[in-house]
Amino acid sequence: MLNTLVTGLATGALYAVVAMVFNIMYSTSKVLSLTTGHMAMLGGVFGAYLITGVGLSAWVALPLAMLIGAGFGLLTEFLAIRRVLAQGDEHLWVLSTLALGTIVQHLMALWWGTEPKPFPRLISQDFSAGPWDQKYWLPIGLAALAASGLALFYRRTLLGRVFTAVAEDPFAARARGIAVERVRSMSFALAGILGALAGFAAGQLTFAFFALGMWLTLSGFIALAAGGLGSNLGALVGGVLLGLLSAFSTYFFGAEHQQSVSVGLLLLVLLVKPAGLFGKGIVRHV
Amino acid sequence: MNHSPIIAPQVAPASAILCSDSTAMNVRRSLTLRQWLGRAAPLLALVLPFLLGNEYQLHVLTLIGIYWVLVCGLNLVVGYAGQLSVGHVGLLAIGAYTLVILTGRAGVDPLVAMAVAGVLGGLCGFLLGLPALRLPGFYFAMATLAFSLIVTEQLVAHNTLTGGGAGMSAPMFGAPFDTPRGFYYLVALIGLLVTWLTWNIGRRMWGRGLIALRDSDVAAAAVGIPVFRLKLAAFTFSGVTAGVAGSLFASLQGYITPEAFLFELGMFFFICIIIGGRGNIIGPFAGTAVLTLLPEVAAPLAKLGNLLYGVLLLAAVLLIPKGIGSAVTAWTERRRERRHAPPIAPNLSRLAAAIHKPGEST
Amino acid sequence: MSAATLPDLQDSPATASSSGLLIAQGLSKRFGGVAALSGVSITLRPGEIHGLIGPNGSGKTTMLNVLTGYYPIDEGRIHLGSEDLTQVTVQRRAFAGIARTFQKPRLLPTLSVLENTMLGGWRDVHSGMLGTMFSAPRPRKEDRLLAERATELLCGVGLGHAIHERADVLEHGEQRFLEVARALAMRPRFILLDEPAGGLSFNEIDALGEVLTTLKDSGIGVLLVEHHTDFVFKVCDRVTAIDFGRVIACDTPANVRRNEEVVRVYLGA
Repeated sequence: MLNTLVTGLATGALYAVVAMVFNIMYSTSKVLSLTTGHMAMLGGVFGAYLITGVGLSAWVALPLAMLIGAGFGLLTEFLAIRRVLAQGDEHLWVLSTLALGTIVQHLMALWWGTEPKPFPRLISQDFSAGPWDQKYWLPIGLAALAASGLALFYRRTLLGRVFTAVAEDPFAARARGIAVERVRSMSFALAGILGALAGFAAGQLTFAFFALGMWLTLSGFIALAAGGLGSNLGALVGGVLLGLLSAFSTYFFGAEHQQSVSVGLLLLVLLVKPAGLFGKGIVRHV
Repeated sequence: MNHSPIIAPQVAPASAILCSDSTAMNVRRSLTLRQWLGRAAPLLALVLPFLLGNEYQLHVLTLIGIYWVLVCGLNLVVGYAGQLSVGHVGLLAIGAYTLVILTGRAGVDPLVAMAVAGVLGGLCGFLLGLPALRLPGFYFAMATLAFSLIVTEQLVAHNTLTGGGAGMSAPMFGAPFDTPRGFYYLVALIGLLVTWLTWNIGRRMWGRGLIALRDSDVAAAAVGIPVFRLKLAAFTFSGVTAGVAGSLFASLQGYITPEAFLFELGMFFFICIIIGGRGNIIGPFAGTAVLTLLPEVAAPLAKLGNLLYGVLLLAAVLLIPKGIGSAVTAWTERRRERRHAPPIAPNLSRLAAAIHKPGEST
Repeated sequence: MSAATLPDLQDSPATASSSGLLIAQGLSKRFGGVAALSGVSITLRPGEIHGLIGPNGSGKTTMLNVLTGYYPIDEGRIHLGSEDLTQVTVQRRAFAGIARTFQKPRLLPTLSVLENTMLGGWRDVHSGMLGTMFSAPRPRKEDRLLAERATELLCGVGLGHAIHERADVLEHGEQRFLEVARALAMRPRFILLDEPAGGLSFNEIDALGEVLTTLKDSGIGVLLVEHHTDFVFKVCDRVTAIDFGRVIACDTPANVRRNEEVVRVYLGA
């Protein structure tokens, strides 16, 4: 039972961070990128590769993985978002981000293989730690750190406030001399960094697996929708809710209904309160 | 700049307006190619089996036809109304399993089972659309995706009914549809029927109403269009066609498992329409045919297939965002002259007469 | 016409029922902390062109959006004849006979000018999807009648030369006239125009004025929300001036033009 609780919290934490990554990209582009989950996948796969395959220490592998995440974020913005945003039609960025995600996923399938491979231990700890195992507490710790870190970033740093300005009113921000496109690129890089970090921290839980991306994107979105688009606190709450619900339903009803329960939560939230727990309604300007 | 002298503008005689062949009434020459294709395609569809070499080719052709039955209905939702429905594979699965369960466990005739599959598909489409169509774009997309995931998972879970992960076998249809060629003609006939139905919708006010939902739902509301009701009607219809397509799909494959209905297939249908071009019928058909043939043509590439698919998709979105259809149109129109608009000269007596003319309901 | 500078309070819904007036009383609308409209009243009469002027941000477009039902109001009432429209949907108001145009033209770019106009005739589309699907006689007949009506309207407003063009190749002025034609296809009792003169050439503004006068003579009530004050004073029978969401004058054009507060708000004196 305790194991179930901790599993739920840990997977929930991962979903929560993915949701936060969504938020970062959404805030400056109003796009919900389908490459979000793949950022985490890359963090996990490259983390495993760099430590186990190349033999680097975790302290070196982590920043490298984050760098790769940043690169993928920039690539997303450049390839899938920039040209498409000008068109204004939603369906186009859904397709472009989906395509990019598919490309990355199958590149990984070719290079890394289709078998999930174990992620190495980051802190020396034996395997009998049970519910206190690092594979649970690394993602949980990261989620808490990310939420508070982002809050601090947006409120206290100049760059963070610039991000917020661009998110709220890009037109006015541009009028004040802010290079909106560059800010958007930076935010996508930041998203990639956080995404890779999430994959790295949760690697022992999820294993390094090429096909992780799509399911993480969907779960992250469910957490986002439940918590409210644009809110990182909502992301945290939504993620934990999803993780716990999923874990306990597996415990009581078996794994065969796991997906149904998760997406069932999504549908329920969208029915009852589409804006999510902490989300704001959108006023349509006519 | 020289404008033509201000005279009462020429009026196209009423008969010219009744151009009922095109999907958009009389929109310049750009439709000649499309009209031509529109007439040629059905004829080709009926004659093709006699031109083909082997059964495998006929199998692929039949598959295109089955996919088209689904995509044709979905086209009203995605291509005309502009909704991001990516989960129709769930409705396909419902149609397929309806056929398999009714024929396998209840001994129902396949044609009857197919009709039931259509009705059930429509019902599920209606029930899904009722809550989901109220959501904004991306949320709606995720809701349909979620639906398709639930369907496949539940199909595995309820294995006493559905055969679970191992799947169930599907029967052939009765004579004269029990040969590959006969079955192809069944599919072709249904495909032509569904095409005719959606073509009728597309070229009348309902079609324009759906397009209004896509291009300006604010303007749609302003003229009194019941936005939600239109979306739901189109979505329900797309459920019927998906259900029918599903039963045909099951029969073609001979054996179905939940693995045949992964969410990627739902994305595939959506992509067929976008790549083909929204707002007409020929475009999505071309998209369906091309995208179904692609893996067959790329078979030698095998492992690289999926990767290539992603690359092509990205390229298409970046280079021809409005789809193949408009890329073709743009190319055929490339030598058109720039338009010179004459000054606007109202004909006030005619305007007054038009205002006072009684409407339909008076 | 009375010389009152305040909205006519004797036009209550009870007296209005037979004459079909569009009456808005005491409308208030807030966005967050900002009051876009505070207690605004306006009366539109059939066969009258009523101008609505005010500086940027005064609430003109909000007023229009509230009258047509896109924004719910916080306070006040809207009546058309004896029907209370306050809580009624945009579509229901359209069917009741209230048409509008938009500040930035909202057209369907891939359809022809004719089809865009026909869209306004939705009110007279009684065929269902099923009948349309099977090409029943009724949808075909409706289509034909709507096409004929749309053609007449388009020629009437001066767009006869562009009937079969795609809407996205139209010039700005033509787009505005197309919106007017579409609004007329609704067989409206009232047309609410949102800055229709914006971006029009002098010739086009004259043409627009002629069109509006024809509408008025045909018994349609017109609300002309405009920035182009000369045009408003030339064409309107009554003018309401608002500033910061409040009515500052409601009178004949001549009187409003001379009104001290209007002059102050516009010239900043």
